[in-house]
Amino acid sequence: MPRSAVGFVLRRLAYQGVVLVGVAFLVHVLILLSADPAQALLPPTTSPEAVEAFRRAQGWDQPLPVQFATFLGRAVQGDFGTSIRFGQPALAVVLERVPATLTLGLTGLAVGLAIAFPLGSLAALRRGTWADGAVRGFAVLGASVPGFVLGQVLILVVAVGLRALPVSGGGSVAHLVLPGLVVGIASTPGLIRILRASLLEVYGRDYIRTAFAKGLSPRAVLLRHALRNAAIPVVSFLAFDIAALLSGVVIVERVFAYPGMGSLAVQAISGRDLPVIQAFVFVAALTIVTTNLLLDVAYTRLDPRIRGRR
Amino acid sequence: MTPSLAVPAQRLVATAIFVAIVAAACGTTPTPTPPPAGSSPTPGPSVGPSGTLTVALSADAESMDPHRVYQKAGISIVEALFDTLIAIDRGDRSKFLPGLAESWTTAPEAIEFTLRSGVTFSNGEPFDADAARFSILRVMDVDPTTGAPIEDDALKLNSDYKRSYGAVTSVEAVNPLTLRINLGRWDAGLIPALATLPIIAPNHAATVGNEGLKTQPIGTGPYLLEEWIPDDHATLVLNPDQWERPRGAALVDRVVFRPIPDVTTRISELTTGGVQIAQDIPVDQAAAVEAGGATIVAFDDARHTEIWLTADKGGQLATSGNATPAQLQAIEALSKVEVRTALNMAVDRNAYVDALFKGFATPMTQGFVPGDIAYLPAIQPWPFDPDRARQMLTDAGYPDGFEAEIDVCTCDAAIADLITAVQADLARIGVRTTIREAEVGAFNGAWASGATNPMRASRLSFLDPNIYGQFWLKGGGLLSRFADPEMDRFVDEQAAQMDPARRLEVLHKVAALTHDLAPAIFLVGFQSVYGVARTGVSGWQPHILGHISVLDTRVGG
Repeated sequence: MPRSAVGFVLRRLAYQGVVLVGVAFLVHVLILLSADPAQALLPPTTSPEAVEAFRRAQGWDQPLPVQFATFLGRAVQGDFGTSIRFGQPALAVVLERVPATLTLGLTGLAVGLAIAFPLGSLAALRRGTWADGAVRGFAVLGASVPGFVLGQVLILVVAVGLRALPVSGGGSVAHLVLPGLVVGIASTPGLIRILRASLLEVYGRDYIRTAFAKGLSPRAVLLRHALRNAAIPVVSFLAFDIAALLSGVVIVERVFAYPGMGSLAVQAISGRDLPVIQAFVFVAALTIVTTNLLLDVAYTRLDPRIRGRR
Repeated sequence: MTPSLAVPAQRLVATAIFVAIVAAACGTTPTPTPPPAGSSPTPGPSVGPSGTLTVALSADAESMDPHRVYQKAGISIVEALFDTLIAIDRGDRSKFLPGLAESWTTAPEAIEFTLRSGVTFSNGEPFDADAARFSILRVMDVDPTTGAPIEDDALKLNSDYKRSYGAVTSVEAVNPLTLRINLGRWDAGLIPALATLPIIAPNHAATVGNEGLKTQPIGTGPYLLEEWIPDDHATLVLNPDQWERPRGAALVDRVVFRPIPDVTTRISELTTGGVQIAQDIPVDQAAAVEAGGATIVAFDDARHTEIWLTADKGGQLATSGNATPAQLQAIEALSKVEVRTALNMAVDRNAYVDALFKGFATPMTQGFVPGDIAYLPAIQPWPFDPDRARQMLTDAGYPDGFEAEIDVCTCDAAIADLITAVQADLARIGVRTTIREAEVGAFNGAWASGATNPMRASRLSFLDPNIYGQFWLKGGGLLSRFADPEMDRFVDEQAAQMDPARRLEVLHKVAALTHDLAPAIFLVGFQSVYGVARTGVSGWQPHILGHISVLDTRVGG
């Protein structure tokens, strides 16, 4: 790898570290601002002295900067403390849920792409026709319907009405279909619009005209030339979309009682399992930051012009 | 925490809660009444346990450590995994059944249990007096080796159940089958507390520690934990080592508890046969459940909601010098019983029951509701009479009413509509209230330290009236802002009374005082509402303690 690329990656890694520390700090402060955790965790009939003793035992009587420094020192070693609910290392508790959420997220992504590519291509190729209008209408609708509503509609129609799929839960491919659809549909509107715009731009290029001129069928032009080039902005959009995907998954997991990171986070928040909340936010932030980093690096490989610019 | 000041939905029921009674009456479809399996348990060999029962809970267990599980959802699982020394009858909470103890005797200075022999924990440890002693001392934060209180704060369990054991001075294993609990004073709340204390395997507990117990439960109960995937399911399998439990028999060989927090999803699972029993059906969804082909079972487990009033002119707000003139006026006004009574006459409880609770509730007439042992049916309701209430305020010196803030916990979103309705009713007699929402930690902290506003909303439920009396009603109680010498005397007297009938007489005096002195604006007692499949399950009945007991329930057919 050229030196400039190495420098670029190192700089990016440094930014990533700054972002993560910032996120950790915000979460730490926000949790402590929201309420006194000692008071929230103990029964209300606990005497003030006992609450004070508990607070000391947990280190929550220390000044905020000291608490944060201690937290950070442990966090860099992967130690986010022990889950209050499970009595196990918080990070391990969160990581245990990653496969389930990843499976759901990737299924959603696959569904989203599977819907967006044909529809986006259709809208671009039939620009201005009723088909274009219909696809764009679908995109608006998809963007407007919240996941928890769509999830319930799908449950009522497919699982309750048709009895075709399980209502909720995890553990089998059948259980993935409905939540996967909801996650996927949520990301299609953006994908369709990006793809449509990108295809329209690509179709104005010389190499497309060349392809048509050498006698390729419209289908071959689309598949071999246009889509490949039009896909680049779609990929960068996906990187942005990871955060939205992740937050969508949290809602969808709750609706479908799906045992992923989202369910864990919601439960941790209501149960004030501070170490788990912190570990979850850290993992989520790390995922987003890392995805962006990888994408940036990938760009430098794909498109040398970007490398030069940074 | 439960009786939390505002019991957060999460830990709501905690502790002791659970008071209850079957509300056969309350308007909805009655409980399906199969032959009470409890009375004829012990399946013969021809009808041995079979099938899988799936139960939808509204939340997952907080933990698998039974001494740190306070919600109805978690207690449902714990009840199947563990036994208690004695058990509370499912249908009558003043009736105690033998459990791991075959019999017991009570005296002012001690309770002595004769234990069942031949019972082993699922890891092979024998159950004996030492094991029982271990569990009791554990919730008391007492070191079983030295018998001394644990001093290191980091090692304390801080169980919510601890507060029930204040009268216990020591616990002795007299011999392997005799357990003696020595008392500094008699405490009427102790028997109910012991009847809800799961007994855990002591050697296992010592090996895995407090942290390990959060995921690895070992008890003597009718079921064993096969798998717990938090927030997904807990699968329980029949314990091959069964004994005849008076509290109920295990009639299925697998139980799956599924936490399904989204209520619409929970109902969909019920109507499609994915689960046979669903917990916590909102009252406005009851019709949908019936329409979907399942049965609604409504059950009065003596949970109630009210707005407590600062009646003793005390507390940090009143004495700190930081109170605004309006707050001081409110505190002054609320110290007068005529004013507190007027507030109770200004709220239209029947309208709340009909409009907000769809009939799944009862108007309160006192500090207790049907199902509480202290409830006194003879007490007449406060009339709903805003005109007279306004006149009483005028007579008390407040012709223009007054202003007051109401503390409401954000964890009590379930009663937000109710509090808003109360606010409107109070405004009609000139009492202008402002709702001050606080997150549960801040809310509880303010209440316990006396820094609350003049009014505060709560949802409460108690295993036994004693905790309620000690903490809420008695002057100087940690959460009490009310002081009356007669009330104090009765609260102490009922706690010390060993004879249940005489204790009841005293409790009824407490109940009468809650009406006459009105330390709170008592609102409604509300029911637990369950959905039960019409086919595929039989014998299930709600438990008076509010959790879902899977005993005596069959599947199939």
